[in-house]
Amino acid sequence: MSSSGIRLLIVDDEEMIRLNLETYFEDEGYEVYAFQNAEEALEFLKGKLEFQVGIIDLRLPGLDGNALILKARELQPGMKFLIYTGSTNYSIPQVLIDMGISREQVFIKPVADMDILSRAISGLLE
Amino acid sequence: MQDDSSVPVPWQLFTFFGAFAFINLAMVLYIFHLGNLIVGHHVPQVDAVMAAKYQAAEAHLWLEEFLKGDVKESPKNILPRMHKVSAYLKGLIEGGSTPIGDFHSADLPDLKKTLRDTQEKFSQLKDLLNKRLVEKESAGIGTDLEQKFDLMFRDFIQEIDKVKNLLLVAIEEDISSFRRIQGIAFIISFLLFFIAGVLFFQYERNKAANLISIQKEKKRAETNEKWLATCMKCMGDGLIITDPEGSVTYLNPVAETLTGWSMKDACEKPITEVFNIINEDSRKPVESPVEKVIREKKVVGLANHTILIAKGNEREYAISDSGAPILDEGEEILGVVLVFHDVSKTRELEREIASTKRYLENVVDSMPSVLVGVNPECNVTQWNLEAQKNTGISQAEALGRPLSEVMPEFSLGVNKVKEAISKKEARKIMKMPLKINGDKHFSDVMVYPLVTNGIEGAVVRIDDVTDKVRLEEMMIQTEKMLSVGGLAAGMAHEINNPLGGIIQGTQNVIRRLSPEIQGNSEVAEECGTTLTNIRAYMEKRKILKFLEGIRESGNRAAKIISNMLHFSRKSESNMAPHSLSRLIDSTIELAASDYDLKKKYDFKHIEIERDYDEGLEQVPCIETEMEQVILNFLKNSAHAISEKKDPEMKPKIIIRTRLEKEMARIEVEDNGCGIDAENCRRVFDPFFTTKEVGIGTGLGLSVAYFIITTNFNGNVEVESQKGEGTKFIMRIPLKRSQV
Repeated sequence: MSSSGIRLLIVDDEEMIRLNLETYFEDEGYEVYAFQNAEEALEFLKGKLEFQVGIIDLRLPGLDGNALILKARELQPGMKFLIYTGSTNYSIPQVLIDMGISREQVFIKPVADMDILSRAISGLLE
Repeated sequence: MQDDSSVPVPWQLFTFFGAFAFINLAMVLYIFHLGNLIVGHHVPQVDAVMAAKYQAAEAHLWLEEFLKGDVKESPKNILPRMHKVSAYLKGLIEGGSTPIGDFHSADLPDLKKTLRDTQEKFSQLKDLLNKRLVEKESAGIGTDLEQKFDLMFRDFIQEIDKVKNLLLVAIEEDISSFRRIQGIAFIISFLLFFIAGVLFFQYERNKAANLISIQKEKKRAETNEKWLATCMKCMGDGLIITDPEGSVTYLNPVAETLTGWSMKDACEKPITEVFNIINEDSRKPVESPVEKVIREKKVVGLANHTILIAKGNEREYAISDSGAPILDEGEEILGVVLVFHDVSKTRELEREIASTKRYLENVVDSMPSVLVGVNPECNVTQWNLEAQKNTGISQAEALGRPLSEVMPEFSLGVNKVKEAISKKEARKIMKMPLKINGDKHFSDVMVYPLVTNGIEGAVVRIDDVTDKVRLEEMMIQTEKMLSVGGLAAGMAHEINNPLGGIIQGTQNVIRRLSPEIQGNSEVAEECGTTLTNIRAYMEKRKILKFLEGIRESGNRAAKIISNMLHFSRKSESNMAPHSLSRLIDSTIELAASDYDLKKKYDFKHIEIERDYDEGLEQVPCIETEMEQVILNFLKNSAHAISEKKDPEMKPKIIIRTRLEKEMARIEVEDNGCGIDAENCRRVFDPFFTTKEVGIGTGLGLSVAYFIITTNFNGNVEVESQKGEGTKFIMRIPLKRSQV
């Protein structure tokens, strides 16, 4: 599976998480853009670059992950998402379910091995 | 009783008066006899002597005349007179009937002798007289003979006077003895009369006294009679008197009311007609007590539950009665007295009491608690249905026996019972372990002393609180887990982020040292070294190993957090029916391939026996959670088996499923080291583990417990014998409605 040419959006307010994800996926050959909040990310999505996938943290300063996904989809309708959250009792809001987001796209921090996320992305893009 | 004014004349009185009359008569006769004796004995004798003297004198005179020559006179006038004298004398001496009258012979000796002398003189005189007569023929007067005769005659007269005087003296004596006798008779008579008077007085007095006492007696009898009559009339009991044949002779007013018969109608009627009684239950006639009394001649009581039917079947009365014979001194029956009274109210009360008793017994029996009554000696006085059920001892068997005997496992409680009775205070024993039908149960025991109405003892109430205790334990367990869960939930996010930093950072570090990642070599060369050199250094300094360690430790921490989070998460309602046997099979497969299991325990060598109930198929659960539960139990069993260092033992785990009253029962049984009682209680506690540090988290069984109790609404128990093995039993309701 080739990951080249896949543009990945990472939004997480925790720097270490952001950096780790960025590093890993870059090493995996993705074209990664990482942001620390939803607003900056949305601003970037309004640009010319087309993203295939986003890994979104839920608890963010300002707009939260759910809102970010909704808006990002509006901006880039072809984009897929993984939700990567520390909230263990998270349940997917109906609007996101309606968008086609399922439990398989939700990952609770921390995943022991980031390969899991990488595999999930591959699965989503197939 | 009729001739009560006369007193019987005492026989002494009769005898006395008889004797009195007889003695008096005898005395009168004797006096009469004496008089008679005087008049008819000595007096005629005197007459006869005088007559003899007269005749002799006359004969003398005539003789002298004749001799003087008075020829006119013949000896014929003289001799007869002499004969007469001789006859008198003879009569006087010999007695008997003489021509001159009847004489008694001379009874006095003097008299007799004198008479004989007189007779002698007279005979000589007669001879002399005869001689003079003869001489007259031949000679003249004045002879010697004449003088001799005169002398003789004078002697004779003297002699005869002597007789006369003797007789007169005898008469004198007769009279004086008569007087004496008369005096004595008078005195005796007087005495007798006096005695008679005294006796008669006594008799009269007795008679009067008798009369008074008779009158008193009569009055008393009358009073008694009245008293008795009033008693019989006024008594609250019915009273019937019959004659010896059983015919009614008397009914008192109460008897009249109860039987419905008036005295007038009932008289002479047989008792069975008037006193119509039947048995209360069978309603068959009962033998009349009167007949029984007549037959047995003794007091008889009536059989219980007798009903008296009043005349005309109008009314019925429950009665109780007794009959008694009236006996005379010879034990002959004069009649029968029958006393009875209306016990309808009593009977009604009795029935009420009985029904109240039954009601109370029912209440006591319908109690879901064991209720046992005991006396101060702790002997059973009350044993309700629940007690019978729990002990298998019937009420009849239990009553009167010591409590410690019928409930041996209750011996601890017996002291409390005694204490409650002596102190008159209720006592409690909470959660007392008791075995009921061989199963371990917990009971709350309440001992209430009986303090009212002088009844001593206590009531022991035993409630099976096993379910409650289990529920409490479960709640406590759940509470523990929820608090762990709450804690976990609160800190999970805060810990997970740094953990993510550690784990993923470590992963990136390892990756960036890896020759597989394309950029690594280039960057190393840019830095004037080679990736190979860097790696060689790292290997030498064990840096890569440390990194791997950091990663693994992070992972383990993350896993603990994730497990802890189970306690906080009420699983979402994606419970669905799953085939239990299939789930178990797949879990066993999973266990066999589980890295941890493979690594730590020789799982392949454990024999796994599957014992599935075919009637049990679909069980509502969450598949993954169910798998986790079973896996956790299997891991626990595998560990327990590895702990048991017995080369002889063939390690074995039995998984059993059973359909049980709307519950699925799943058992995981091993023959491992077992758990002691102390640890049994804590086995589901979070973080409780007997494994070495670093091997168990102490969460596996807790998580299983939590999932079953909270998510599946089931329950889990553990049964274990140290050294023998352990059995976990879980029950999951088949219907989801129980939330």
